[in-house]
Parts: sequence; C-alpha cells; structure tokens
Amino acid sequence: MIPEGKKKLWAKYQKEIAEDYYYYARSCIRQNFFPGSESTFLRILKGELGKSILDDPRHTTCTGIAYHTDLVPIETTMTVVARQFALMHEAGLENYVASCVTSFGIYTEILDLWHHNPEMEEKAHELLYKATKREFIKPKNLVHTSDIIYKFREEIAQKSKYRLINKETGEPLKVVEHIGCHYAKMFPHKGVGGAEYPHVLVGMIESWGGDVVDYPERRHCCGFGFRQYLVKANRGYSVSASKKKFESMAPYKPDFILSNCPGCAYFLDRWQYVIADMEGTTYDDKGYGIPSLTYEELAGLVLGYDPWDLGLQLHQVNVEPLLKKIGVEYDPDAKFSSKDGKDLGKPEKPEVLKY
Amino acid sequence: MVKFGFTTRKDSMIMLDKADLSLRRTLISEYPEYQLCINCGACSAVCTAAQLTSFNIREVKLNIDRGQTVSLKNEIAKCMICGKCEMICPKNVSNRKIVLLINKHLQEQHG
Repeated sequence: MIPEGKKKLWAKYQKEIAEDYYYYARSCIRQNFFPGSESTFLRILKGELGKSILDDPRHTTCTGIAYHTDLVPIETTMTVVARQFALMHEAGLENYVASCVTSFGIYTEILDLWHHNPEMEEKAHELLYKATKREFIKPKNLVHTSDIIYKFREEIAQKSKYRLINKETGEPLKVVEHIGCHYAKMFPHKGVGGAEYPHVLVGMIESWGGDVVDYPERRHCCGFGFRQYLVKANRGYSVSASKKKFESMAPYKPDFILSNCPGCAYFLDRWQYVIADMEGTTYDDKGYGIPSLTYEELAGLVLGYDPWDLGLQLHQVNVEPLLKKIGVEYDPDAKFSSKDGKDLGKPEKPEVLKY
Repeated sequence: MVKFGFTTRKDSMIMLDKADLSLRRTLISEYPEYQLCINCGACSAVCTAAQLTSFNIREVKLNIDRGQTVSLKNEIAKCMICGKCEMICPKNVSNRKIVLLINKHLQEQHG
C-alpha cells in the first residue's frame, strides 16, 4: 500500500453520512445467512453509540434479487422502493440506512433514475398511491450500514476491548477486505473512497489495528452474481470466481476476510467448504481455511461481545483460530447452544476443511 | 471427494502479447472493413447455419481477434455463404467476404 497516493484518491470520493436518526432497512438474505450481524449493528448503534434507529417491521424486500434476475419490472421495484421511503417519511425520519449492498445499489439506482427521468418519479407517486394510498418523500441521506460503522470507527476503537493484533507475535493481523460490487462499482461517488479504492472497510481495519492486504484480484467479484448462483448449472462460474480470489490472496497468508455485502461474506465462507470437499484444497497452511467475517461481526469482536452472540458459529470456516490470535475469551462448549441452553446441533463435518 | 453437481473452471487467461494475430492482420490488410465489426451479434441472430449447427460467426471473429484459431477450419466449414449476415449488419461489414478470405488463407496455409 502507498498511503499517500491512495489517500489522495480517497479524498475525492467522500460522502455525507448522517449523524443520527436513521431508518433501518434489513437485508432479506443476511437475516438468514448471518442473523447476528444485523442485531449486532443495532446493538452497537443504540448501546455503544447512543444513536436513534428505527427497525421497522413493516418494510419489505427491495426486490433486488428479483430485479436483477428479470423477474420483476422496474415499475414494481420503483413502487416498492417508494413504499419504503413512504414508511420512513411516516416515521418522521429522513436518513435511510440499507443493510444490504444490493439494496443500497437498488435505492441509489432508483434515485438516479428519478433524477434523470422526473416522469418516472411522478409515475412512482401515482403507482404507490394507487396501490397503498401512501405518499413518499425521498430520503435526505441514503447510506449503507457499513458507512455508519465507518463513520464511527474511531468511537468504536476507543471503546474496544481487543485490537486486531496477533496476541502471540504482537504483529497486526493481515486482513483481506472485499467490497460488494453494488456498493460503489455502479455509482462510484456514492461509496466512501469510490469504486477502485474503497476506503469503507480499509478505514475500519486500520482504526482497529489491522493491516490491509493488497492482492492482485482484490476488486474481483466474489462470484455471487444472482444469475450465476440461482441457476444450479451456472454455479461453476460462481465458485470459480471465488476460487480465483482465494488463489490470489492465499500467498499473502491473510488472517481473515472482511466483507460489506451479504452475498460476499457468505460465498467467501461457504465456497471454501465446497472447494475443500470438491478438490481437497484449503487456503491456509493448517487446513482451517480463511475466516470470512462481516464488518458488524468484526466490530462486535473488537468491542468484546461474545462470539456466539455475534453468530460466528454460523460460519462454515471455523473462526476459533482467529479468536485465539486476537485473544478473544469464549466458551468453546457454548458454540452450538441456544440462548436458553438448548443444543442447536452441529453442522456436518467437511472431509478436508478442519472444523 | 464430494460431487456437488457443478465444478470449478480453470482460468482462461488469454495473453494477447503472445497470441498469434497474423490472421487478423491479414484479414485487415485485405479487407479493412473487418475492423468495423462491433460484435453486436446481429449476424449470428439471422444466420441459417446457426439454426442447424453450432456455427457462430461473431464468436469466430472474436476468436481470430484473440489469436485462437485452432478450431477455425472446422467452424468455418459450417458457413453456407448465404450472405444473410451481410444484409443485417449495421456497419455494412461483409461476413461473406471475411469467410471467403479465411478459407483462402486456410488453403494457402494448410492446402
């Protein structure tokens, strides 16, 4: 990394991130993949930072997956987005926070569409009123949840219990950051640091003590293209894209991968299991794989939250080696116990990837 | 090893610096309009041979541009030289002429 040059570029792509009073829109898939991440985000915002955020049960999908797989027309997406904005307005809020990178891309795209085609915005008003008798007002501030954690990264660092430092060697942990394509590749000015040198995750890693790994396929897609993954016959493309990234990052011996997109965190985790069982390959020296975390999970770890409260037991690649490196205190026996002490059952043990 | 019903694919990186682009250069020198092709695929959409075989003239030209000419002889033999592609081309490129030139080149090279 050459910080001077990067800083110059990053400075070009700064965005306004509201200070407080947010309307929270959850991610459809993240609630299933890593449910602990979203609850941790709310816990950090309300408990640690004292912010006001509305977790509204009335909001729906943004239609992102259906939109990108050509199952719904743009008018439907536009009307659903308009309804979300109407709910935010009814709640007296004007700062919209999307938990999903695909949703963030959808909202950004629709706002851009309305900006360039005011008649489409007018049509959205008509369609929404016809369907729900609601009126909407566009958000004053639209951000992704990772933007919020980025904004308050120093506050989190000040409250931190752990740093991203190897407890035994005293060296900073080496972190691979992966930005979801829809965060800034479509609208570079809407992402902190732009599309080519996004700073949103780099900022967190550096503030919390880690070192960022710059590797050749850093900006390559994780492979979670909806058209690739949803059609089983095309899944080879998906796993191949992830494999390309793993092969590119492995020589740098990263301690973990950090992503800001639901699909990326999931596929960079699960495909390691698939590649291990399919081809007998793992991407670390000891056969444990490279843990793949979300930024809320990492923030939670840094703040000293219990790893099993963060939902780290839902990862396919074992996180315990990373917890040991950081020095996180945890109860190994509580990994697969529910909050009320019931046994949740263990996942099937992979043949190659150690678990 | 577990079978998942799909597999990983090997990287298909094409090194243009090392590729043999002599056929592309020959075609351009004999028929400069070759360069006007925008790879829109309209030619393939109307191609009669494509309805009966796996022939894809757009892909053939793309492969020539990348220096991938190993299967060229088999592919080009599928063309019926009907010329429908010429009629649809938005850039007025004559694929018929290109196919005839490729044939001529292949005969000169391989007999």
